[in-house]
Amino acid sequence: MSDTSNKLGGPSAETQASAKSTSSSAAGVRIEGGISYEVIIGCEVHVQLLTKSKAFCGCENRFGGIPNTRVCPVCLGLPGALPVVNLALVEGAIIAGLALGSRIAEVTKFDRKNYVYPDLPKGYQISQFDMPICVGGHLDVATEGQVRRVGITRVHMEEDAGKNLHLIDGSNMSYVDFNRCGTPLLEIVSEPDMRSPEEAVAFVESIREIMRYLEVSDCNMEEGSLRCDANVNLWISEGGSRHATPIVEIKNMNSFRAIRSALSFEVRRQLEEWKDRRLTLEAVGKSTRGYNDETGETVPQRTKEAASDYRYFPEPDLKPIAVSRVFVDALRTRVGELPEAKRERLKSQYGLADFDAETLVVSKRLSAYFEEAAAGYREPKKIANWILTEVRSVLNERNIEIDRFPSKPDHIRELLEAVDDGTISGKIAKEVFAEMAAAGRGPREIIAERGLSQIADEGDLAEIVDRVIAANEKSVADYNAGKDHALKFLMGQVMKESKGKANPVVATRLLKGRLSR
Amino acid sequence: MVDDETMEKILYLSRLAVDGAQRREIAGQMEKILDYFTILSRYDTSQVDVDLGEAVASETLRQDAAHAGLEPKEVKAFAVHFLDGYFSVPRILEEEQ
Amino acid sequence: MSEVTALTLTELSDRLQSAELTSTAVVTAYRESYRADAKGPQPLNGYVEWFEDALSQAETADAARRRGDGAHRLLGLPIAVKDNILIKGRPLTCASEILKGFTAPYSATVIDRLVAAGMIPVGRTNMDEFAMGSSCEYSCYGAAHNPVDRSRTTGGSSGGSAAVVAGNQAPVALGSETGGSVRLPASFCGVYGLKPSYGSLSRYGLVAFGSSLDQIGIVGRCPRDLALILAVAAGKDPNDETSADTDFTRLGDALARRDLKGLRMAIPQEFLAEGLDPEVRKVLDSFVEWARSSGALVETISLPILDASVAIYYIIAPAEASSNLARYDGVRYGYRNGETANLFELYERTRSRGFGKEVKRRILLGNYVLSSGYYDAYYKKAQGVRTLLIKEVGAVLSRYDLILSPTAPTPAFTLGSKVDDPLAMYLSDIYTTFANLALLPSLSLPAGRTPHGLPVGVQITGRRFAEELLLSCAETWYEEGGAR
Repeated sequence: MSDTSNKLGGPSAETQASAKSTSSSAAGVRIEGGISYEVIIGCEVHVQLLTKSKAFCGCENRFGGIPNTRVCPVCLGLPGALPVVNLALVEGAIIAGLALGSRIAEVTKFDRKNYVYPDLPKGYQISQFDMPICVGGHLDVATEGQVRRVGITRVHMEEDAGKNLHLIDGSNMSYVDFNRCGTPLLEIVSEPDMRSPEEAVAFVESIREIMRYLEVSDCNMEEGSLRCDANVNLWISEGGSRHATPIVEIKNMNSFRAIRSALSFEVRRQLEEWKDRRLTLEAVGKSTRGYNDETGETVPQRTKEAASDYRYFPEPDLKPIAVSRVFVDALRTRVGELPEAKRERLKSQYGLADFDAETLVVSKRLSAYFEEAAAGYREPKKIANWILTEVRSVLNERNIEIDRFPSKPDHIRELLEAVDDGTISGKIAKEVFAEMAAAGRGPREIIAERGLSQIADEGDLAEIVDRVIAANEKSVADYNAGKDHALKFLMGQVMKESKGKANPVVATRLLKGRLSR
Repeated sequence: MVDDETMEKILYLSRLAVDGAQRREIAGQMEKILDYFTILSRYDTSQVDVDLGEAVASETLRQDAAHAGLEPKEVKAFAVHFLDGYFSVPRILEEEQ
Repeated sequence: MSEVTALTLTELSDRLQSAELTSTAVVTAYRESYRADAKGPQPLNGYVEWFEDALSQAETADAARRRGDGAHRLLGLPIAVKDNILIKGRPLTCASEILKGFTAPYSATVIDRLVAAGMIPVGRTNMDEFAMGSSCEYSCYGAAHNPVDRSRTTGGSSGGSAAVVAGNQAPVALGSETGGSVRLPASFCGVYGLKPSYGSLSRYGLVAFGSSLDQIGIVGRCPRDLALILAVAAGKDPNDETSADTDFTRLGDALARRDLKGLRMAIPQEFLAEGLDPEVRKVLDSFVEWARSSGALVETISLPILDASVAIYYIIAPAEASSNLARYDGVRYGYRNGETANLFELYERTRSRGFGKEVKRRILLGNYVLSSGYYDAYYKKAQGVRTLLIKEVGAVLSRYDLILSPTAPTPAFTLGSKVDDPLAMYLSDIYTTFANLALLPSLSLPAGRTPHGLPVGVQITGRRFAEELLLSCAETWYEEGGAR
């Protein structure tokens, strides 16, 4: 059971080597300098889970903090300490697997992955080897109008290591902080189905979107809660025969831009290397390179062959976990509708534009808010628009999520209904909304209390219109003489006189009625 | 069975250094022990499903809640090489990743 | 004074409750016994540290008792603790240079429970380094000596625990087992030693050696003493997923003897084969005679898979150990070799200088059997045979109540006689390991002596969680005058 693949598991050389070239997609095959080739990419994505405590101990799971203050005997690997599995780790893994269409294992277990590094206190990482929690699945990834179905090999659970810091202090020392050690991680391994750096980026972006939507992870690459390594090689067609270049694992890509840049560089490098040296996968096998963001290049990383003998064996401190279908179904219900399906439904059910649907779907709660607000309202697009402009502006300003927004979804609908039925004008609506967002009170209450309802009563309005006409003889004359802009001015006066409450439609009618044209 | 190359590899995995004479002695002792292990070939395990112990139902796993761990002074008490809140080690070189 | 140190834990408890003795007097008596021996020509070397502040804890216990503070049976009673069980605030070394300087920042769950019941840990006992050994000779503190014959080993790895109990320096002690490390020294020193079922006692705070085998064990002078400790220490621990929901609290109130009539015992003939010292065989035979005269049915059976025990054990335990000991690297605690230019040297030098020969051997062996190319032939094979062993032993225990055998093939051997022959040393475990592999409870009781006066233990092994049966049978033996 000993595995000689790289530290992060992932597509074996065999899988990548046998990756079928897609016959359907012309975009896969490229031609350059007389060489026709396909780019084969597989990704391994690590996602940190948003749980309260760590994977195997009760230390708080939070980014940052004073070093070595969120540690305990377990995550520090002290003598005599033992791991205890966090339920939320298992739930998160299953939720992710369900979203990716994976099969959830009925029995899953942890294994020890043994290697030595200062940020790994026990000298082994608790991970999963041959009985991962999720197997299979797929993700449809879109780039430039083309959709590729990328297979998911597996999703498994493991713990994160600590952080090493190298200070430029001339001391020849490195410094280790174990706050992050033991943080729950999911490793998501894709099949080598991607055919371009852009697809790889889109894949990782999709993972990010789903995990954030499910609230399983905040997938923040800057903070390290989303990490990606990629395996890439080329299939070269030359004079009737095909050759595979050696597979290279690329590490240290710390942003989406870096992923694209690193993979693009690597593709060019492998092509050049092929032209120069004709090295094949069979001859050379797999190697590792690190991406250097400053130079935009990948450089070889030497690893001792023995170092990759992880000597996996079942973790004796933890029992295997039986995952009942009842348990899975309860989580499936909790997950509910997935982003893709929701997006399509919002478009078809509510007639929303692509962009609006996409934006709402980013957050489960925001889309739920929208649907509740739009329930029974005749123009859902207006609600969507209000939420995406006015509501979101408040959320951004206060740096809160929709769950902390004081107004209920019903209130938004009521507000727009008040505009529809003429109670208030669009302009007043914004004022009312500001008050709603401040105090969390309903629009009708605010309108009544502040006497903001539009004056729609013809009698009342007529009086105001007459007063305005009487006071603005010149404008009246201008309008009658054919100057349209004078009407605007007169309407402005009506609004001013009515303190903005005049119903514009009625006021216009009345005005025009009293003017000669 | 335990040739030089193998010995080299397992010494590396174990992060142990043993000098020439001792190496041979240990290799010899290991071979004797490994030879003793051949007794296991008497037993047919081809149909055996390894017993990993009774599985635990996922519902019964530890509830996700954060608790205080060790306090800084407690960490300092056993941490011999501690500087400004960090554990310090000789510089990690690229080759050792 | 010397009389006090010969009493059982149960007797001491009775006398504390009747105010015939004080905890202060008891702890003082043991301290004096230890000190006197330490000054002698050939000290037992059972303790690696006596806790000087134990006496003030005894005084506190006496005060609490005088106040009438709902005294638990174990209040104010001393216990010796093997140096691989963490006691908060105390040094912990596992008899290894690599942990010199380490102070435990937390207590093992078992310690917490015993201390909560009022017990006073009085010292750390000697052991084979990281519990790897069968003679307590692989210790950075030097070997422990058998109180019965100081030129001989105590057995191991919990040699210090057995020595201090047999040598009247503690009434009871905690040890640990992975392959027989409590029963073997108990047998060699002439005292009782219990390995509870795997999972009965929490392993949280017991330094891991072979995680799927390790258990804290108890060494004492009579079965009731073992029961008193088990009653308080056992039970599910949320810090240890492998701990079981056992409840032995009932055993804390005067363990009752058991009528042996109709009890069915099986002796595996594989344990009567070549290698068994005839003197040990004689003691077993007289024990069998006693059992039969008490109405038990004792039969010899064939269980060939037992011949594989040592091999299975010496593959699985070192494999797990090679992983469990990877954390001792000088980075976070313990010894660090400072003269290193780079990280690799830090690891290599710290571990090479910090670990003793036997520990290194086992780490290397462990990494060998787990490494790529050998995993299937060794580790996976051993797991398979272990599964078979569990099944077949289970089948025997469905027809019999107990499996009976000698604890060890020989009585205590002389110091130095096996130290350079690892395989010979490993074969001391030939009768004990199957119980660890099968997760079963097993108890060694002092069954007699050789003509030279060396203690011989007999071992009874029961079904999982049948500790009560073992203890009550042992109580019957004890009450009938069995081999004092």
